[in-house]
Amino acid sequence: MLDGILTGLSTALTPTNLAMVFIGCFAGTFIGMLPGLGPISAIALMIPITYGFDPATGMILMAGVYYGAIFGGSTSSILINAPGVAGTVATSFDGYPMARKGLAGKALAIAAYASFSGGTIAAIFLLIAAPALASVALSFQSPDYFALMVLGLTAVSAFAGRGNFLKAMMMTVVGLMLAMIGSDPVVGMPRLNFGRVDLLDGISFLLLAMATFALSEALMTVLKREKISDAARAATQGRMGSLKLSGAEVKEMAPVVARSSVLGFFIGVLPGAGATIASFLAYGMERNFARGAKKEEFGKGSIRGLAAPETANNAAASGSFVPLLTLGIPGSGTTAVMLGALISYGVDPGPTLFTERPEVFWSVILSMYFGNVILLILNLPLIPYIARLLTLPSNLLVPLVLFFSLIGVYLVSFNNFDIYMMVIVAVVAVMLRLFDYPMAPMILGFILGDLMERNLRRSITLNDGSISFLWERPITLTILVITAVIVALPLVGFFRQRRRLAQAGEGG
Amino acid sequence: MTRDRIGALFFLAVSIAYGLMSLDIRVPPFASEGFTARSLPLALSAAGTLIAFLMLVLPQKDGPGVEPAGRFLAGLGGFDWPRIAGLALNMLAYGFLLTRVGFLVSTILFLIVGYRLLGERRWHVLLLASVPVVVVFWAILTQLLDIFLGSALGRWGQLLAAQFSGGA
Repeated sequence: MLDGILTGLSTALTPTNLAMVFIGCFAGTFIGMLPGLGPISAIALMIPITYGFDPATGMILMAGVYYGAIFGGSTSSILINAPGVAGTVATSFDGYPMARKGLAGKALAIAAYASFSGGTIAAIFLLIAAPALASVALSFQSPDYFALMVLGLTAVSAFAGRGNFLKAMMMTVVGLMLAMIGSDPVVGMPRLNFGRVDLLDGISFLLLAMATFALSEALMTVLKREKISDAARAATQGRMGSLKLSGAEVKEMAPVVARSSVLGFFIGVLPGAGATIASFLAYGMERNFARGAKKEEFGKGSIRGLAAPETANNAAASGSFVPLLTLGIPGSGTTAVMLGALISYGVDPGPTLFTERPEVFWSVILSMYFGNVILLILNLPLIPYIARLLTLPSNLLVPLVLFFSLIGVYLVSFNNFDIYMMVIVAVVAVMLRLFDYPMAPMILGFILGDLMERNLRRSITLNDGSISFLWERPITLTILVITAVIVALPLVGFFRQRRRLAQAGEGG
Repeated sequence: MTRDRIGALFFLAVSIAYGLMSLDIRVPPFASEGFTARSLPLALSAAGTLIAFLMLVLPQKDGPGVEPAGRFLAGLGGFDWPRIAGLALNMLAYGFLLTRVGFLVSTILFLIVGYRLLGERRWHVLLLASVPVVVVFWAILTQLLDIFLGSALGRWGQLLAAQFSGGA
């Protein structure tokens, strides 16, 4: 393990890779600040640029973008109450009231210190947990992988929020359906390609990610006529206040940061639960822990209320790399896009990544730590200036986002058909967003579809055409039982609520 | 009929159509038994049909999803659809022109039309926000990163150039 860490360190510390962390954090902060564009769009926009890089460099850039986007989202949450990222919605609950009181500088500093601490503690956990899980995962076989993928896809839907379980499941199935388009992975026969040669290789994951996130998010801002420039201008021209924290404030933050880091990391590791759930849970937990006047402060500019979600969302971002790097199974839409990028680099993600490509495995983990340091020492003092970028008029910004998305996909295939398809997919995605269908489960389903089919078919072939491996292998059975519990929980909740309503009706 | 039920009906139709298309997937004779290229698509069609059916029949929770379809569709009318249609057409035109008139011209046109569609009318802004951006991007890609972007003139430009050089 020490050899691996040293290899990773030497890879992460090359000037190119350090520059990538820097560029990634900066670009991510900027994109994350723009309401409407989240980390998935930020990462998707970077993929075409990273095709020429070696896998470690590409992943380091994307990890930097991921952290930067979350930090950027916090900035717009605090300054203009417009979270660019779902994971920073809880940040606005107390961050924005602080900014309204003229304490924007302090709120940004708390967010930066909390993010740094959460990211650092989680990076240490990752350093311990990832190799341990990777060693266990080396004993996994095709049936277990198939079961894990079913678990991952189901968990994403289960965590989709109240009333959205079936919608998220539907989108997962749609993602899997789209993954079937192209050719059969075993015998290579064309399948569901509408007779088009352009679709023989299937739909490119980059095309789908760009169209459903970057393009459709940009179109949504136009559709809803969202104008943020005025609010941003007012916020950035207003008084930022001091960035310094007092000893008492640091003392108040410290236990919050410790608790939220642990919570955030473990929530991040769970497939499907990501930074958003972690930040809300940490906020709720701290509000429950607070007593008296401190509890009253929540929602009005509480330091604890700001530090908790900020710590947890960064810790969860690190945690979400555990299943990606050790099992090759992404736990969130963002890591799903990263998995797609890894596959396109020719890297086989999973437990073998730890043994066969230690430089990729370790350099990504270590660069997360460097990313946190860079965000703290570079972004914090520069935030007032970076925030001015928010005042860029959206009538100039949207066409540029559309251009970078289209050309990013075109540069990979040099096929006009991909541009036409992106437009169609983006328009469908806009419609689905209006009906409140989540996009992340679809991307996850799409990326895991091919792997899932390969593992299932391999398992059936090795088992002489029988599916008895589903209940004969203890690991597979355990994972499938967990999956069944995850599916059953929302249904149990649904029937309980129905019974309660029926009883209330009878009583009334 | 509510908003979410319209969505459910749409996915019910999609899942059934997907299943029918999956029946047409050709399977080699030697793989006619057991798990074939058709198996998973058919299973997914069944899963999609079941989920859509559940969304249709299960009672709905309070929230935006239970908004009556008529009111929801009327609400959609308040959005800026003409601009979206304009941007979509602009992107399709960009895809069509990219190889025909080359990267530089098609991208500058795409950006200028996009800015104008979103309300920018000042010509100096339109030109400053498109020409330098595209030229710098093109220079970085082709000169610095050595990424091939196709002929700078495109197919039509080359034909035109050939005409002129032939005529001279």
